[in-house]
Amino acid sequence: MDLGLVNPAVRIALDGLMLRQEAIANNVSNMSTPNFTATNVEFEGALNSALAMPGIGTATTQSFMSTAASEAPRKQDGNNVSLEEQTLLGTETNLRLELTLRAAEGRFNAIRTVLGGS
Amino acid sequence: MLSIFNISSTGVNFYKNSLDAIAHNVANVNTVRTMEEGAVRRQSVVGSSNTSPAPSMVGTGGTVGAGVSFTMVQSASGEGLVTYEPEHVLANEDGYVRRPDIDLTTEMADMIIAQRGYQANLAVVQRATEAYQAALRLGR
Repeated sequence: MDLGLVNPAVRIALDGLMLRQEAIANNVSNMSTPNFTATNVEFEGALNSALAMPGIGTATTQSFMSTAASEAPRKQDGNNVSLEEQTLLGTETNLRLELTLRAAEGRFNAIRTVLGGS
Repeated sequence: MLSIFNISSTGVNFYKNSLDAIAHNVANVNTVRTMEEGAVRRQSVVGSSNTSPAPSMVGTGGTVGAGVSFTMVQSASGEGLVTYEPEHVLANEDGYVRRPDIDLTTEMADMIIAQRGYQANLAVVQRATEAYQAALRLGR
């Protein structure tokens, strides 16, 4: 039974951001791999357009996520991972994660207040 | 879940082995060998990306990959640098020995790259830890 305790958009955003962190981890670990192409994770666009439509609560997280090959310029060895870009993206993703978690927490706190807990 | 740690550990492992190879090269930069034996071979580590999807990507239709695996490669020939050192104990009757074809400058540059790569992967682990900790605080 879904009590609707977690907003579906929050759930999808958390999954998407976590997956983006995984993609960043993979890109950084392949920083020196010849001919490696960096992967980007996209979900915001799909989530944004889905929020305008009803029935998002039943949607699976997977249907919102897509991966795309980075089109950054390649280095001499054919690798196109940019460490500075990945670091920036990772920091930003972490901040977004924290923000999303706070949104979920706000809901929990409201429910706790209703239940009369502390 | 927690697959960031697995992915980053492959990266850390890759750069650790790179450092091992560099240590071998630098340690042997002055190793002299006889003409018959062949020079010390330069070692290096070459990475290739793991294409199997990370556990959390199964069923999503996309892949973010699962880190890096590597192979240790040695320079194919033991030719090295043939130098004329007739006074050396290992010299052949014509006075030649083999020194390894290892350039200390290249090794030092590679070492810095490996060191930074190692740190970068650990920084990802650190960030993932922060993210997981934030998630664990949820609902407290």
